[in-house]
Amino acid sequence: MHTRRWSEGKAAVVAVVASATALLATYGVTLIMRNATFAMRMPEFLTSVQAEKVPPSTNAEYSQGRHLFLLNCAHCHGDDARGDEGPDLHDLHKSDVRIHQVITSGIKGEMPSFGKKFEESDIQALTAYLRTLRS
Amino acid sequence: MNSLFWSRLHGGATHFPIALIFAAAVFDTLSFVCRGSRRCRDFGVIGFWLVILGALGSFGAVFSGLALSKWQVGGTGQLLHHHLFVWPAFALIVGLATWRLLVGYHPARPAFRIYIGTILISCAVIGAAGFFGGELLLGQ
Repeated sequence: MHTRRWSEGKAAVVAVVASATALLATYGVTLIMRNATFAMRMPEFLTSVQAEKVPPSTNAEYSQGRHLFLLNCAHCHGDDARGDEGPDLHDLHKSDVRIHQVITSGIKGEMPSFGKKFEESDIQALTAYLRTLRS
Repeated sequence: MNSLFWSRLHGGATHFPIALIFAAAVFDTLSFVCRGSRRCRDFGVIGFWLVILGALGSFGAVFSGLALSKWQVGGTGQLLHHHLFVWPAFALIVGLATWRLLVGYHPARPAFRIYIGTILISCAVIGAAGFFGGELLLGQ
């Protein structure tokens, strides 16, 4: 290892090939795993699609709330908020105060807190968006 | 296994390669700047092993992250921002480690200069990926 075994140029070509191979291999594994996961969750997915409805309102607060939801919450609660690792957020039986509290403080061991990230208007918009989610 | 498990595993697995690559950048830069002495040559050897170990560790970080994101290579929102930096960082780390493995401890200086420039860019990309990853997991 103390002496150089490859020329720098040749090594650079191999390095680029190795990078591309690593990315492609990772993508391949990802596709396999995603298909396997999807197959396992197919019945749940079909139920979710059948129950999908158009949101009842499209005002500015709803739009802002949906934008914030997709940016910060969708990776756990699902793009359609029907739950993934986090719970389904349709038909919430919780007060606005409780929703506010959960968003700002989080749930220990389950959900991060967003108190330092969101302003009051953001939380109101998110709550307004969540209120539109009906089964 | 739930997302909390993968979240913790990813958080742990990610910081090893980040630290190793950042340290490799420091040692290789030192090795490049203070050439000649025995100590500087040792810095080059340390940088060599750090980047190799960092690249090996990056596979664990990437796959635990993919499991956490339910095997999404893109995603939406902060997850997408995180991934936009993760994939270039992963490619750069693997490429740099492969190159270093092939050329050995002490490459020729012109090529080593480009290598150091690239590893410093990689550190910036890794930092951005880490920032959005932190935003995603910590929400702050």
